[in-house]
Amino acid sequence: MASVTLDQVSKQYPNGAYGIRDISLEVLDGELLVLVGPSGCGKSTALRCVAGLEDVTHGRLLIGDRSVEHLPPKDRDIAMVFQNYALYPHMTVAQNIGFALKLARRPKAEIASRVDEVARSLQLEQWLDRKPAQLSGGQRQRVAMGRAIVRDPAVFLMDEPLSNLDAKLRVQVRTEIARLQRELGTTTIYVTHDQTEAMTMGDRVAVLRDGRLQQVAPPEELYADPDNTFVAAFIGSPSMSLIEGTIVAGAELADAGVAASRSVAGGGAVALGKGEAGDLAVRLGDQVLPIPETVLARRPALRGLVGSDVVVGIRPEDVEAHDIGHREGDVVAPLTAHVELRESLGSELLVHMTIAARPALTDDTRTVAADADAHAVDVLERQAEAGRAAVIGRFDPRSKVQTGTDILVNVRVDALHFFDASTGDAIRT
Amino acid sequence: MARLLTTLLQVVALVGGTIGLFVAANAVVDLARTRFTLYSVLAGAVVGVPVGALANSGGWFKGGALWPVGGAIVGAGIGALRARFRQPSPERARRIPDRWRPAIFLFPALSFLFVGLVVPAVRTIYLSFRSRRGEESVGLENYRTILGDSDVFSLDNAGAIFSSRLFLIAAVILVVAVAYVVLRGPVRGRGLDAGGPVPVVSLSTTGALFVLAMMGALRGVIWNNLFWVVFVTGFSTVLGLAIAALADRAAGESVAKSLIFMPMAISFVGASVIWRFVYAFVPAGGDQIGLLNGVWVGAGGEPQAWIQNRPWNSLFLIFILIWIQTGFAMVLLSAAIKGVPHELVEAAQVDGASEGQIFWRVTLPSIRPTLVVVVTTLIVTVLKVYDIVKVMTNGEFGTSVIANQMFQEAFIGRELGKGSTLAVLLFIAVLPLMAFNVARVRREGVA
Amino acid sequence: MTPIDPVEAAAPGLTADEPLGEPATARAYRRLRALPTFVLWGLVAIWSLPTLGMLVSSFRPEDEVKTSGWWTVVADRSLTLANYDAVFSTSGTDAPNMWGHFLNSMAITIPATLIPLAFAAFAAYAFAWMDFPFRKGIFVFVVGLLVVPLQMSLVPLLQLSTGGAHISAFGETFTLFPDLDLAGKPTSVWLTHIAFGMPLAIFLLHNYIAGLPADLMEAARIDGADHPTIFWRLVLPLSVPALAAFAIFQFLWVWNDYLVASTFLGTSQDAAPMTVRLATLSGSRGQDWHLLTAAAFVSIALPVAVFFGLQRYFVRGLLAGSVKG
Repeated sequence: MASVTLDQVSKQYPNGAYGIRDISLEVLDGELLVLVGPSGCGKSTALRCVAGLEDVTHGRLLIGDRSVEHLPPKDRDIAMVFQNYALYPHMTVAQNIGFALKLARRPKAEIASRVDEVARSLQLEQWLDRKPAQLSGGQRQRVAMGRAIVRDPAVFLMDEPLSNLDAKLRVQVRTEIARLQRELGTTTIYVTHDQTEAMTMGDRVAVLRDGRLQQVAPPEELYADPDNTFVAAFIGSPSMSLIEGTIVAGAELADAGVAASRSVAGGGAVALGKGEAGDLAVRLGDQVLPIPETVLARRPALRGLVGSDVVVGIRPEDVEAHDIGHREGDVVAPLTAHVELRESLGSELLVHMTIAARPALTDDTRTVAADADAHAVDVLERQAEAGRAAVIGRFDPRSKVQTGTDILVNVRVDALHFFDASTGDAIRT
Repeated sequence: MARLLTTLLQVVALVGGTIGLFVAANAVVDLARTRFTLYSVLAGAVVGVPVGALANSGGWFKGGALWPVGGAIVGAGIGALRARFRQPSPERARRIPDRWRPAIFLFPALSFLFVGLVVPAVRTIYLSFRSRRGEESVGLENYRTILGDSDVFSLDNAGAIFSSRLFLIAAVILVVAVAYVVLRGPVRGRGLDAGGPVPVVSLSTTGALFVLAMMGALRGVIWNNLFWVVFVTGFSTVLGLAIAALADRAAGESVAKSLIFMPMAISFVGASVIWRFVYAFVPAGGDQIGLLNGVWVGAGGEPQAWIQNRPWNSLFLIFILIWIQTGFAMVLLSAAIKGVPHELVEAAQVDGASEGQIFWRVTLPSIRPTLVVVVTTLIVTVLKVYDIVKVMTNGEFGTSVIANQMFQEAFIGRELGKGSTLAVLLFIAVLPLMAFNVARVRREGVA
Repeated sequence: MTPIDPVEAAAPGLTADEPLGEPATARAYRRLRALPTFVLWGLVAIWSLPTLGMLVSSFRPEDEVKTSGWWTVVADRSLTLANYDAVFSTSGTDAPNMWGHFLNSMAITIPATLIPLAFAAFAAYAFAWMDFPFRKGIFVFVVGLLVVPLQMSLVPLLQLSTGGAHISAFGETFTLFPDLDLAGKPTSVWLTHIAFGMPLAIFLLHNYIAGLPADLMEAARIDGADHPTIFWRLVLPLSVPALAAFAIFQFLWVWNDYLVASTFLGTSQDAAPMTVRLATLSGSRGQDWHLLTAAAFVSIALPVAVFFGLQRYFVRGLLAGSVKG
């Protein structure tokens, strides 16, 4: 049991490229920290540096209060679960689990009892004498976990342990791992590219991109208050819609005939109170949205940006059909959008719309799109050229919106996100 | 029996000894981490033994084991001194085992390679420039003598090639092939298309006939090697490919392939005996005992001394190697053919290609790498042929090849200089293939 | 007009109760389908004729072998074991019988097969999973050595085994390699074969060992294993297929070798393996086909048996050694 500290850790390859760069991170004792990011972001590299499988070129690495950068893996008191499990094919399950203990020359009796104990906790007792080839994927995964657990290390390192399982099994094993980690209380660093996994499992989540740390925070905070457009676009499925906008004076709202209101139960809305409506608005293409006081209080820097370009972020659940009743108390404003596609998932309705504004086309948004698939970047660029930004809304499944029509939606303006147009950083103070 | 037992004991001693030394070396090197002084002393002693032995004039163990042991003691002393005055930090000491590990792992194999292959090869090159006993330098004299020897290499009678019937037929086929390719028209983006059955078959036939014409006219050991290479490689590859393709759609495939492959398990000597029997010659009047003459006479011909009649006798020897090596080509090509992705073939079928077109346009290009490997390996194997010629004709009747000539000169004639020269000539013949192999491995990268 | 019965019209003579015959096209197609099988087995038959001839002749009495073709055995069935008898009993001065030569072959082949395995396995592991300067260069060099003809090393190696290697300097003679008095002994033969077989052994084993999953090695490192432990407990057990493939390959190669054996053993028949003995017989008693065929058969019996029994590994070895990946 120990904390793990990375202090300005970098790994540079002989050809000059960086695997990870200036990563400073502290994993608290007993927590499960998830490293997440698109392919090639350096998360596996970071994990392998902590493991000692790769050398750190700059920076310090501490496990507990021991400096370990120069120690080989076996002296770091860590255990690792690999993506492909890396079970020794010619040894039985029992031998696989007990291998490290055997190498450490523990007495046979001790090895046997510890292996049994671990096997019982993972329901592997009847498989102890089988070889890995005779086990299913899920069982092999458990053997890999057992091999790590039996050593009672200070830190668990997990490198995408669920990627080789099929979708349903993944959900099941995910909860098992989380439960096990909580039971054992061992500090764990968990790498995944699946942000759903990251959000459900992590006590805190660290988002990486191109070898650099973007943000470390508990999942809720990462979701509600991303530090930059990359984190905003990467976390959340479907993605946050990022649109180019300009901060304008509140007077433009009156010109457009738009006002914010507070929704009430059962539909309908009431006007906002005096101090609640802010005096600023944001122009998205040919439409304007008010910026309520609550947002201005959180992001005072907006006041100094009147006339400047910004990037506005809207999460799908903050867009709703104008006619269906809202949750009580949301501050909303109307927006006209053209419905391109509706995806009915049964439990929810995802509506893909476009508005006459430009989507944010930056390095960040391109990277996130490319991570999904190569085609998505082309789509984004065409949208930018055409001046039509995508807005995704999560509608009530009963909604009757039609594809190809122009509809009115309500945007929850007190949940708008604002980012600097050039750096992508969140606009706060 | 006693010999076998002695040998087994030697094997156990050698392998056991090596593993023992390996384990010991690893243990000593690991000591550097914890007890540097002891490590230094032992390392010094280990280095001291061979140095001491080498320094002993007249022989390693001359005068008992005094010198090696002395070397060990001196080495140990130096090791102790180093430990005393130049102790490394624990950091660096920890790295010592990892630095020496590769050397320990590589030493047994590389030392055998070095002593058994590299050094002798260099020495052979050296000897090729020296006199018959290796006593004095003679420069390029050996090369001049050998290449000037008309039994080894001569261009006499080269003109006869162009007046032979074979050449004529070859020329005609060549013209037809070229016309065909030109008239068929270029493939878009790639110029003239020389693929497909007609050009390939006819051009190969042209080549084969031309070399056959050369065989009828030219004499010389080096030419013989060329003929061997062309015919064995060509026929074994083509035959192997044909059988592989055939077997792919025939019943009893694996058994048939086994039987065709079986000659590879027979020694060249054994195969030569078998085929000498096939080629056996009984003068007219008696019943033939050899299979070939039996068929020949049965079909109304006169019995022939197949392996004595120049210039085609080499062909009969060549056929033996074809018989042996076709199985090799077949095995590799069969695996390659089966390795062509199904989807490729199916896509071609859907596109409307016939079986033949699929074979020439899809399968063959896909197995090109294997074809290259087969051809290069065969060339290397054929260049070294010795046993067959030795047993069949002992190099007489104009059938000798470089390897036989080398053996004759070096071990029977005791001409070390000339023998080495012939070996070097063989090496030069193989060099392009070596360069090719090396380039291929470098391209594919070392794991 | 009677109505025309279409069935009658199509196949006159058949009544509705009899089934129609197979259409001609289907029949031809079926025969064509079987063509590859016919051609293939025809080829196989012709291919096996020489071996068959030798086999049959070895069982025929001497006078018959020398006067009539072996194919006449079909009509005239006299078979005997006399030839094998003769081959196995003592024949020739200072030469043991065939059984002795068999043991000689064993004495040369077994060390030449087993020893390279041990040495090359270490080296292959080093090339595959260790890092050291010039790693790639040395490996490429070893690959280059694969094709060097053994004629390049024969003369110096013979000198080495008969006299050792010495250099003269500073008025003294220094021994680089001692004279182990190996002249004419099988030890010199198999030592040479070990050296010649080493490049292929390293290449084959490296191909295989480098293909083992990297995360297996990493898991072992995390579990606390160092290189020797990983080699011994992980790599060796997992490399058995490659080791077996090379062993069979090398076994056949050395057992069937003639050049190296005859070079190092010279004219002495005492230590001669079967190939050398067979070659000598072929030269000295070239017309005694009854003996030659029997001797030939004895010499090829073991390798052919090994081949058929372990063919799978042999083929795997061939494929691994030739086609990378």
